[in-house]
Amino acid sequence: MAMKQDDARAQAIPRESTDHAAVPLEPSADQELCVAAGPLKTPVSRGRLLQLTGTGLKAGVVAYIGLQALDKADPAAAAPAPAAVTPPTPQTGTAAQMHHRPLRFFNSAQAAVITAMAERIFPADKTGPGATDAHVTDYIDGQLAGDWGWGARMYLQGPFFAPETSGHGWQIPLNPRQVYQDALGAIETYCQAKYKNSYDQLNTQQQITALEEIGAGKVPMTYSSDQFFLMFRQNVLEGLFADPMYGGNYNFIGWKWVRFPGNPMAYGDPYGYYIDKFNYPYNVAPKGLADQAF
Amino acid sequence: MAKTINKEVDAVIIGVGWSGGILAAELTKAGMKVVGLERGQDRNTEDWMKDHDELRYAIRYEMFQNVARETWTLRHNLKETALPFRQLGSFLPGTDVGGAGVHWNGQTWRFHPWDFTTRSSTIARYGANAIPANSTIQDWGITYEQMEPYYDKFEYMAGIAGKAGNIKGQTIPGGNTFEGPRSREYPVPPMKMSRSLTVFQQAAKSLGYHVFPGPSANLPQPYTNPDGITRGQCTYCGFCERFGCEVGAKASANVTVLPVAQKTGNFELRTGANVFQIKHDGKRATSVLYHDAQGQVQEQPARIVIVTSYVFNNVRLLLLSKMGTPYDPTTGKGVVGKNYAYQNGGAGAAGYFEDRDFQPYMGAGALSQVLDDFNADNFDHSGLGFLGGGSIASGTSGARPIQSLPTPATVPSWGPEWKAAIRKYKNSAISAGIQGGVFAYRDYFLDLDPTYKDQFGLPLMRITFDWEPNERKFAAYIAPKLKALIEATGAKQVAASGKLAPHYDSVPYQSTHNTGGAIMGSSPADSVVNNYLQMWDFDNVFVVGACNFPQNAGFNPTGTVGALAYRAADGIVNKYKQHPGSLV
Repeated sequence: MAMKQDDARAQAIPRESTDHAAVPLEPSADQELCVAAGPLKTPVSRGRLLQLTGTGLKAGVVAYIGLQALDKADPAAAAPAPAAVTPPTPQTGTAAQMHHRPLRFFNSAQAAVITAMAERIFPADKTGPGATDAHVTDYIDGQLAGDWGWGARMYLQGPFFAPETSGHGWQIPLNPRQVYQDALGAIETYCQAKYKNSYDQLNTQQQITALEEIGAGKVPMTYSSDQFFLMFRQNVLEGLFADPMYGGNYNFIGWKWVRFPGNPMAYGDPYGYYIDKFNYPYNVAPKGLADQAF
Repeated sequence: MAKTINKEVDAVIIGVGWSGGILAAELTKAGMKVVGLERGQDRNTEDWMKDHDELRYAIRYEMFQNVARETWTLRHNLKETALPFRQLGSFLPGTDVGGAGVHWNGQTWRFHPWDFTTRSSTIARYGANAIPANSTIQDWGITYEQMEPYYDKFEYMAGIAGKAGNIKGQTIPGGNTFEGPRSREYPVPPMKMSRSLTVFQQAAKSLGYHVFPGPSANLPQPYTNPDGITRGQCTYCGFCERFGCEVGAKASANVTVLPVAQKTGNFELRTGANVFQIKHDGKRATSVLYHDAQGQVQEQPARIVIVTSYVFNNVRLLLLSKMGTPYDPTTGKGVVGKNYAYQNGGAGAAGYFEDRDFQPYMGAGALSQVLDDFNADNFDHSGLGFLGGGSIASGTSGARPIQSLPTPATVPSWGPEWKAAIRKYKNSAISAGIQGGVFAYRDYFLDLDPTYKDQFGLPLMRITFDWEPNERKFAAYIAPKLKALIEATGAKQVAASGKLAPHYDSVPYQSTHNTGGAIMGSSPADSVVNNYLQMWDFDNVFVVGACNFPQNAGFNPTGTVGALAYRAADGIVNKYKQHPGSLV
């Protein structure tokens, strides 16, 4: 079978850098502390978990392990990483990692700025991967290329007025694509004037300072920069935590980070069993809509 | 443009959500021929099999009114120039068959006896001077006792899960002991408890509050209703609010009353139908005009016209059709558009544990523990400086991660500290919030915007609304009590707030509990419809929904909307059908 581009990339990124947020299937000690009522019991084994949840979950797990073959799975599942593969040197911060799908809205320079800004929101560090690893730029680029970017569900008829009071939200004749173009131009102008360089070329501390100033409304742009920052931050959250089919949350990085299991239908909808079983931690590798078999 | 004129029917229903669905079922069961006109599509459980998609449904608003085609304008006072909602935000009216009753959470309340007599009861207990001078609160023209059979009917049709606190005057511990008397127990026992709710429940009990399970339209067990409709149980998947229910456990018109209407053979549903005018001769409506799914104009003659779209479009259609006298805030005369109100969510508290995993992604829209000790007139308001109140609840409705990343206020909103905090607190936070009542005020109303138009060139609905001291004072009063409640859970860090925005803000989501504009009452001088939801000025027009509320109560509106729909159906089927004319 021809290897998909995504899979090739998955191998290019060392597991250590992407998967440390992975949640083991076995309950961990701290999970046992979550008991809200009743006595503590022996940790439940994975086999017991399957037994408890019935065939729905069992079928789900079988299907899930099957997906290992497609390299979409989590290292917490049984299959070990193939020993023969030596990962290439990671290229953090280079153009190679900034975006992974063909760009449909940003140009390369803009994608580099967006990637650098998103990384400051959710930075890779020793605790786990960051926005770049989660392909947040791919997500935002895709949204701007689609209905949302064009303002398909926004009311953009005039006349436009500056609000007399607070509480009126968006009152400019621009759709999100126009706002991003405007903001990226303004950020470039600002960074060149202050640092003589583009945002993505600044050092980490400079990037933090510049993003603080954008968030404080200090960078002149049409849609005030504090408003743009809120929009951008929201888009980063979406890129981290939306279903991976939208291009972000790559390898479930976002969901693993906050221990969100994703789509319960992909497990056979087991929550009705677990919700009031306060001694049984529910602790699985996340699954998305594409993992739902029916 | 060519116009198709259809054959006259007994009744035409404009907007097929909860109200329209209930009326469709009741009228067709009685043998009446009914056409339902719905602007959206017909979608049902099979269309939601892959709807555990927070981005598509909750963030990009799949099921809600498309404001590119039709929106609202807002101003905060009579002098300001109103500006349009250019994106959805503060509230999310539905579109498609089932309306907002598809993507609701399922919290299904009865209003208090006090809510129906707010003005007269307040005067009796606190004197007329206690009512704010600019408030236009009024009695509903119907009492709780009159509403009780209709509430009962709605709850048994929808299979509401809960615990009664008052059956025929007998107080029952474990239920809502403040509620009005019920004729019988809920049809279905309460939902399961989640981890955080057991903690909240214990905290509330430790402070002496009367905590009870929130009444829920998310079935915890299979149920067959009096119409013979059987539905399966909730999977606690945590995707209710803003989503459809793929298993049909969450009650909606789609899985309850509409199949009943369809089965009679007397109901025709037309989707993609945007009604823009009710034709009338000044005394009776004769037909409705709509753009069909192909963009053509169609006319549907009917002996009865039933207006059951969302609050705003009900009022807008009356104004566009020149029916009833528009309300004028400068004189206080007129009724259509009067007494627009909303819901007060201005107080909340959150607690952050260091060592818990509440698994909050397991949940259901109406899975909650509630206390009613500070709602309505359940507590003495002497000397407090405000009237009314709200219910207090902690819920487990499914903590989907784009929208639910709780962090203590001390944590910055981005960067390494934020990254660590969202991991730490995602599943270990607990919160409580309010559904506060909102009074009606002289200057807050609905009318047609003079400037902005919809996709058909018709004027948008203009909302004039802002927060008033009565509601601000309640938010400030209740915040410390919420804080104490969350502190009693043992959470290590607790934060609370009790402040409404400087001006009502159209941007952050607050509540799709808009009310008023076509209010009910006992006199044509101060209401649009009588207590059968029949227009005073047009005997054969019924307008049903939260637009009938003269002011808003401290609960979610759907239970009361459903009860009003059954009330209207009772009036049409058992009275009007035999003797057309005024029902009061």
